[in-house]
Amino acid sequence: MLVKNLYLKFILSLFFVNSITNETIQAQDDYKITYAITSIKSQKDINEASDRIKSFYKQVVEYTRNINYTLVVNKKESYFENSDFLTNTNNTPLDDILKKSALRFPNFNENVYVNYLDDYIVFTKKLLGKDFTIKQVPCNFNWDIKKDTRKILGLNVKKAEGFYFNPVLKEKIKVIAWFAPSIPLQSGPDIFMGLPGLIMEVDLKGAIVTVKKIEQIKSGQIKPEKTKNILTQEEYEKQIKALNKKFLDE
Amino acid sequence: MKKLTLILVLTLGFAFSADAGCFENAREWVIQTEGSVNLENVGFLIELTAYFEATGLC
Repeated sequence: MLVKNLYLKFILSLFFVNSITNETIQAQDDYKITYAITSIKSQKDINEASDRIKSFYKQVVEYTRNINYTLVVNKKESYFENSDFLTNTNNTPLDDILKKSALRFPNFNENVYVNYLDDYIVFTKKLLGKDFTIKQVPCNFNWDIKKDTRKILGLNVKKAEGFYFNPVLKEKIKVIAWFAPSIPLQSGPDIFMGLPGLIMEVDLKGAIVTVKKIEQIKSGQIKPEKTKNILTQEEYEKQIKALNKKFLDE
Repeated sequence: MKKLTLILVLTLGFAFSADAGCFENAREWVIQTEGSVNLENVGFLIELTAYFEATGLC
């Protein structure tokens, strides 16, 4: 009887320790992923540009080294935005325009919130100096996972190719992503997501953006989604269509 | 929508009142790097024109 009681206490204590450990792991289950621009792509051969444009291009290429994006993510939600140097108030007008020029290459949204449980995203897009915030289902990239593999930050990554429709440009755009199956987060930079592992690099029309650092952080640091002046996908596309028709198609 | 239209009119109006050389330089940059002027980059085009004009880079 004594042995049975001791055995029962032992089992219960194990269960208790296990519960605490699980809670601890759960509490530390947020990750901060830092992405950087590793390459920019000019749509036309820069050697054919004027000397003034070539000189400006060199400065922009140099400046892209200052640009970081942050993704704070757990299994339930994530928040992505351009980080750090935007808070620097000592920027000169040259810094400011170089920053804006550099940010044009990846052409990411201002910020992107993703709710993985309820399957929606909320992103803010700046068009003509005005912020549009849209809530919609995540884009379907129809990812095609390839056999190609390589290493990023020492992790094995796999290649995937996908397409998405950009309603502003009215274009179907190809994207190549390299994801890490060993990091079971279906997340990535900007709107890019939905692969069986964290997206470590995206190869876009204008730039290549790659993970620079992965940190485990305390939970509760994911910024909440925006809830004011939200447009549905239909409302957004309607406004885009009207703006394109009014200012560019005519 | 009316506010947005007003912003558009003001910014585009600014572009065409700016120094033609500055606007052309900025437009060359946008076409060089992005391939075309579109709704996503026209705001930046205006800002770049203003920067070139303010700094005498055109």
